[in-house]
Amino acid sequence: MGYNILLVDDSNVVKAVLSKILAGSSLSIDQVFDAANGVEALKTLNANSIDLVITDINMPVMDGFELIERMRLDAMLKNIPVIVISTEGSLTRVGQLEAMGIKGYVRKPFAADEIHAVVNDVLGG
Amino acid sequence: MPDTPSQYLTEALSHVLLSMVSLSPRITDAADMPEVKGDALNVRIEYSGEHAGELGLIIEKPLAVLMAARILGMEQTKDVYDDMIEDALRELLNVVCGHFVTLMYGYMPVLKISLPKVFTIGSAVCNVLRTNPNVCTFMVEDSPLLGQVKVK
Repeated sequence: MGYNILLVDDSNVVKAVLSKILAGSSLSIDQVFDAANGVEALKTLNANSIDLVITDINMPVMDGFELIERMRLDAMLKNIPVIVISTEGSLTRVGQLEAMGIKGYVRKPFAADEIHAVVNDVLGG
Repeated sequence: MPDTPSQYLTEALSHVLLSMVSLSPRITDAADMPEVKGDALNVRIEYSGEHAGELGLIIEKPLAVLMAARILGMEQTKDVYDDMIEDALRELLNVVCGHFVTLMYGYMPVLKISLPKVFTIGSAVCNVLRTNPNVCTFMVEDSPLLGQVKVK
């Protein structure tokens, strides 16, 4: 059995690039799901068994902060690890995300190696 | 060290274009730039909070197609559709804006960055805009690229 990963980003381009990077990972990945915002992500999380969420912050409808907050308040979702990939450079904001329990942070623009390293660290360690 | 918003935009744009699409923008005097031919794409974004402002890029369609193809890792630009181009430009400016605000204001302020919007504009408007003092002009792969910055 491989891992199920959920990508959350309003950019189809970013999701396509991340999917390609994950396909080249050494980890066994069963399925990559995707969502365009926090609302769609919560629906996918509630309907599937997800091992890792990789999310953007700046999204319409429901942003990444609210998605992580809602996951932490939900007994079924609170233990799913979250990696944030964002343009956010504010250390204040990154500190807030770390306090919310995220397992990794990658700043855009990212390289494939950075994604492999952080995903391996969270799932493979 | 840059000391004007245009210089900060130039630095952020240079870093992001090299990282995301392996392209290097050359700063070019507006008078030395070839005219923009045909419609171009204008992508715009705003930031607000402790500081506020807006950024924009105006890119000729063929260059925008090349950028989208490179972001997506596609070898053939003919397979790049309009929605992919617009999505790629939104993401590109989003990343440029993230770097611009860090360079301009440092790592501590918490700023809200809007969702980028893409418009099509005619060549006549582009060729008037390039002489605007808030516009910085570049050449990328023989195509003109205009950067707009407005700090409120």
